[in-house]
Amino acid sequence: MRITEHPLLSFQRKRVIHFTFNGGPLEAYEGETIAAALHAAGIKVLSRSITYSRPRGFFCAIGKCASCMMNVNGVPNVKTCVTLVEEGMVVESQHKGVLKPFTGPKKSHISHMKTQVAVIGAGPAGLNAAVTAHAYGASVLVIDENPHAGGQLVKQTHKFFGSSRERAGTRGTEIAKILYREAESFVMLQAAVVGHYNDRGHRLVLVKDGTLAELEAEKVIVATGASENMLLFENNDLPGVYGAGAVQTLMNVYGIVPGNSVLMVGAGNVGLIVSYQLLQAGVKVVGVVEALPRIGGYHVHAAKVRRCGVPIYTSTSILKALGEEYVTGAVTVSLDKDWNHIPGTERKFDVDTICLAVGLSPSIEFFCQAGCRIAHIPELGGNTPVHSPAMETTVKGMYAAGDAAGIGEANTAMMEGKIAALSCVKALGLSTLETEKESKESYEELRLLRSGSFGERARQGKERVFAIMEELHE
Amino acid sequence: MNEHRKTGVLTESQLKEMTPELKGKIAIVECVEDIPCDPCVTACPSDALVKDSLVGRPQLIVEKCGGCGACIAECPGLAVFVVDFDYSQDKALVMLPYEFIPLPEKGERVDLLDREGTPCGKGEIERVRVHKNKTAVLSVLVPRDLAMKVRNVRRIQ
Repeated sequence: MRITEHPLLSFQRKRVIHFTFNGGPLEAYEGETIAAALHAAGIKVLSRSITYSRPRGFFCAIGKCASCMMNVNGVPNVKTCVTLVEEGMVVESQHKGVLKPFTGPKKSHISHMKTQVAVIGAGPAGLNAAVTAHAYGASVLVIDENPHAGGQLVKQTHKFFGSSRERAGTRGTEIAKILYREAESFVMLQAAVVGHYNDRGHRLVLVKDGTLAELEAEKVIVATGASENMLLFENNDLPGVYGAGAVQTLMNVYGIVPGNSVLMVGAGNVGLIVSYQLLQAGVKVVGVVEALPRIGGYHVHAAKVRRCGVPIYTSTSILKALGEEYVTGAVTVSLDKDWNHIPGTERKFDVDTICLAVGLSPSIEFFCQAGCRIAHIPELGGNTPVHSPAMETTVKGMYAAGDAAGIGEANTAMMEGKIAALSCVKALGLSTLETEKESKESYEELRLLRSGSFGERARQGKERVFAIMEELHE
Repeated sequence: MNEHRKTGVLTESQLKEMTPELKGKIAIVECVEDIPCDPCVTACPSDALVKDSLVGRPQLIVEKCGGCGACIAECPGLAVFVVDFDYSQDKALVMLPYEFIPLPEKGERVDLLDREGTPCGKGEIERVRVHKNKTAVLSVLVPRDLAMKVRNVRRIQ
């Protein structure tokens, strides 16, 4: 179902497009992804698993997981959550026996490009990095596989915390627009970086419109963001079990509600914010369950959903999802202080959507391919590229920023992007009298954003990362 | 552990600490954690809201606050309210942030909701103002004894 009226957003729907799904005709609006258009048409089951033929829907909606892959115009394994629907497109489910052999991009099409700073990911960290480096005269190219720039900012309808000197009080959606306006001329969308070679500086391999391109860069800033964590419970693979971020994308980017009734799992800031956003989109939220004995997110976010009548059940976990082809309900259970299920406390909710907001993990695949040292830092969301306070990784000339460098939030991501870019600027010999001052201010701003009790974990995590980096240098 | 970390609802004692004297027209800042944030400080035209650092809790200088409500729509946490305890003999005025549609209209009777979203009485919309950041500020007339209870409204279907 498409949202027509929203308290904060307006959805400008472009022309109607016709495509087919498993042979049947469907309509969509130009600018929608295949997965979003199918969901709007009430189609949640996109494909089936190869071995057990389990139904598969999307989970992350931002191109991070493989749950939404379908056969599009005869090409298998297309991520339908980041692929825009086009007139006449032939979209088919994938399942056993239908999967066709993959034919890669043609090698004869390779083009060559050069830039001083390549930025992978056009989210808050990447865009702020790009804008900063560009301001010092560096040539910059930002590459992102999504059809929209702004990363996860494009769906953050709430006003940002942080310092008024930066962009506090502004809604994330607006910040995305401001950043993209400044960076638009050097952002390449719907392009994926699929390889890294360091035999001659940094050579990146891109895929854009089915053709390969080679990009030579003096410095690389990797701002690939994070992916949402899955949780173990019965039937967790049913369509209708969505990441909280996926629900936000569907609802706030494409104006499509995920369902009629939602159970939110996780009372951190993401779970609380998305619950509130669901209410704003007119969707019922039956409750928020949280395994911890306390609410993890800010009290102010919890208060917003509580005063709308949404209960928050602490020390409670999800036991299973109900349904055959897609979610028709959820069962929760109370936990004792040792995390054991308390028998007899099971509770059934009639919902068609289960939303998981149980944390994020840095997207580190690219660092791994480039040979960066990785360390497991639980405070930063797990495996994290080791980096210096200047954001340089163990591979010279490769920098990390934002959630990819350890889970934080958008303000710290923007600040890390800026710091990484300033480090590149210095290394490229492009510093001006302003650089040192701006650099100092950015470190101080980042320190402030992570001060206080809510920043404690990130602070500790970063200290551990910096310590490992220092040890490696000795 | 503070109770509000479990329930998402502030306790009576936390509220009392925040607003020792329930009189006049004054901002009620329901922000009890050290969040790195400061738009309320920059929004206040009379310097009544101060923070000693970006993460400190905002402090209200009672004598300086005229209850203008400039902070209500600016607070990213939607945690600031203004209450006029002495609006009339039997009514108090509660100004609250509201981000749902359709907006209620001036003169409309609404259900009054407490911090848990439970209906606790009926009130009347006195004014609706939509801020440029799209957050609306509703001024709601409520029975005087509900001034510190009402934090949301619901349109009567």
